[in-house]
Amino acid sequence: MELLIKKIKRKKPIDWLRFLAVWTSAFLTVFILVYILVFVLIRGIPHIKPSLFSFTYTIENQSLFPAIVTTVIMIVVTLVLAVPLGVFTAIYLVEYAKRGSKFVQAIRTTSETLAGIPSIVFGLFGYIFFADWLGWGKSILAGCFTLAIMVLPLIIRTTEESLKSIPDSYREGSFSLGAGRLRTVWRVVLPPALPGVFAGIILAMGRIVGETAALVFTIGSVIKIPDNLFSQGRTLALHVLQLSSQGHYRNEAYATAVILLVLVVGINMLSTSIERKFKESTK
Amino acid sequence: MKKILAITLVIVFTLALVAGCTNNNTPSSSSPSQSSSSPSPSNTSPSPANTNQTPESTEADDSFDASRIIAVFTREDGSGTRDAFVSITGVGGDMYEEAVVISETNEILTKVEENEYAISYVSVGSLSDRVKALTIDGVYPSNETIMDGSYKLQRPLLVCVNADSVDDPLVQDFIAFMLSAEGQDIAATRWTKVDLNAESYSTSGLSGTLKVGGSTSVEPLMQALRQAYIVLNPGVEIEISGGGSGAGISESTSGVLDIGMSSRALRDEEKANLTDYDIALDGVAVIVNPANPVEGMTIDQVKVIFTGEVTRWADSN
Amino acid sequence: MHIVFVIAAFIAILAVALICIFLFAQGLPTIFEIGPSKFLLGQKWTPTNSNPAFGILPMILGSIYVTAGAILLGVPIGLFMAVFMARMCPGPLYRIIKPAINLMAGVPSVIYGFFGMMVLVPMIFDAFGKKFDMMSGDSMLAASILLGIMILPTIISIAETNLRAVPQELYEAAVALGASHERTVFKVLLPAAKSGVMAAIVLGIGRAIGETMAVKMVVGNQAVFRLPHEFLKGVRTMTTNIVIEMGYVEHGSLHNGALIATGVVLFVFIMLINALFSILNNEKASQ
Repeated sequence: MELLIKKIKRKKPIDWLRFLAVWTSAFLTVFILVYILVFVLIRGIPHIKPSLFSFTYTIENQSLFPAIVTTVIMIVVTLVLAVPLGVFTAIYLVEYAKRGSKFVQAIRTTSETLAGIPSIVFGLFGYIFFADWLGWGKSILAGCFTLAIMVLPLIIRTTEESLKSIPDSYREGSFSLGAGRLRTVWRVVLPPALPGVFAGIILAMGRIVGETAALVFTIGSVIKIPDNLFSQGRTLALHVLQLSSQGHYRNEAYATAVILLVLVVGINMLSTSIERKFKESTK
Repeated sequence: MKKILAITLVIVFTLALVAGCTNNNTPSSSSPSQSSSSPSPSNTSPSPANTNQTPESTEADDSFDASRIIAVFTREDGSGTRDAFVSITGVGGDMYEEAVVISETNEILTKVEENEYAISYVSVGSLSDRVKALTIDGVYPSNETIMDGSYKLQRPLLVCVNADSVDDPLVQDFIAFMLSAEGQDIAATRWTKVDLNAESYSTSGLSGTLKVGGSTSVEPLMQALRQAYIVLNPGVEIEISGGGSGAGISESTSGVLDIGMSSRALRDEEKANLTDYDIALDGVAVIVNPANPVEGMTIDQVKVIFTGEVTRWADSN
Repeated sequence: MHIVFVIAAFIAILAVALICIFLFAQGLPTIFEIGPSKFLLGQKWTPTNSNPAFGILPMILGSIYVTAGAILLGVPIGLFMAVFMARMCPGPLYRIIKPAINLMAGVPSVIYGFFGMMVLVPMIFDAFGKKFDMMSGDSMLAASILLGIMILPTIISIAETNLRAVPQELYEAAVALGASHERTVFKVLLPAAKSGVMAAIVLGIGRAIGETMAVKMVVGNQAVFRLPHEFLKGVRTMTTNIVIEMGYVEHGSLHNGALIATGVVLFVFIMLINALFSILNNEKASQ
């Protein structure tokens, strides 16, 4: 029907203006995105060599392998911290709490607040609290905890939304069969909501991979495979930053940036496909 | 039909807009659709081989317009390079407040490379042929002129340790390596030796971990020293981080770092808590864009530019 | 087991409480030590002078100008794009564009920073450098453009979701009354989605004011008081101030405290913006 409307109705000049405005914006937006991507790819791809993936970083060979290892460790530890915390909080908010109670309000406000804080403020806090006050020093652990707090609202929100999208009939059916609330949540509500939860987790992964400001003061800047969680380290994004700031490694910086982009694109595509599966399964 | 026309109009219009912004003032610019379909506008070519690029917006070769404003770029407040620069040139605390503040060595090189009217300063050890170093009072920065002192803009690269670390045998051994003949040879690759008669180093086979951090000017030297040292002492692990001279000094004082790196001499109040060792000499080069016809300046000419008293290239000589 | 969930929720609240406590505990005393008016309204930032000054007004203004510019550039384009995706985009194209916008949201800020430093800044310098006697392309304009680009995906995705959520009946009713497609979208659907659009804008503001690394590479970082019409000159924002100087402050020094206090001011700013938005929302709801 919309197609008919678009074709049949006569348009006034101002409608052409609106049409123009919308299509220009669309074109501009896509153009900018493509430009940025091609910009990085063109400068980086020629400089990608297998040696970039060797195990150690030397001044002759700016390997990014230690950075990849550190990034993976960071993703794992941060998610281990944030996901249970976030999912359980969301479960509490949706399944257990009385709607509109003060506690729920407090958590909602808290979550919104956290979501709005700039990453540099997280970095500042992480430095003061984890690195300094708790005495962990600049370390992967400090970085992970800082990032965990940062992605917490994201996980809470996406889990909440997917739990809410499970129709109440599931819950009522389970209750009427005699199951307790815990069993209901665990066996009946959570499983179909999982794809949505995963989508949120993957979004969080994307944020973790791309983050720099929050980590600059908390994770240190040493480029090697970390020995333990208290070592300093460098994630891929930080490595790009550091390489670009040394005089002689600009090309390697672009090459590393390409790898980073590939990682981000991969994570994004994963998230999209999971979201699609979720939409289908709830139909 | 009208729709297709409108959409085509939009596409052409946007392309023209973008092309217009990227190819300004060029009498012989390529057609709009061509120039905007290539992702890198010709005035920002990335390849290192293209050292003498002139932005397309100026015509021909002798296009340096001396009536333009001098684009002053400086390092951030905590940089040792900046500290050395302002104290030797006499700029002191009066750095031109309009100077663009850049906090990384490579960004400085990039900005000067891309801006015809730029001027800035970098460690001689980080010089590249993307920029042109000026002679200061007629002297060009080189190993010889730094060593005999004729190139005045120089400062020591040093390491500092606090009272707890100074007795640590591993710390002492690594520092001994830096000051040995082998260590000094490494320094001579891009910097200047501080001791011409150093003794040879012999390993004691120590092991352990060291945390070194601070000046980004010293960092490349430290990386090279570390690599050679680890070959001789396989049981040792050395972690090097950056952060700037200021961070190197404050964090070695507080003990976060075992060894701090600085590219400026310590102040008296800092010396109270630290022992320092000069491990190399480094010059601070004043750099301009390769297209700039200026070849050299006196220290005073440099000073008045960086305090903002002189703002145009025409007034600088 | 129920307790576990409650504890989890509690910890979430604890996190924010901790952040507030630690930041304010170090920041507020510093503000008072420097003097609130000297700190918030002072125009000179010279922390390493022998007689240090810690005025962050230039930085507060810098953040405001750059964010305002980003909103001016990003919101119209973002809204139009959202309209496009919700109501004017052919199906197959949508399937390509939607993931592309999500991708844009995920691109790390360092990459945007590269783009800004190597493309935007020279472009601005070449276009305006001679005419306006500019020193360099590092300017509020560059930062606003870059930030505008960075907040596009945020604005687009939220606005688009809200546009799609408007009941189809509204569209059909307007069209039945004789309105054209475009007119309906702009005059009926957009206003109906107003609260969602406002939410998108607020989130965009939050993102713009908080961005650090990308902005640092293009904004010039001169700690100088500027007036709005000087947008071709460089400035320092609160975020870049923190990141540039944090590396070398001494522990426990006044300088250190001043930077944390800057973080506090940033925090308060964001709170105010969110609160403003909530108030506006509530007013709308009660109408």
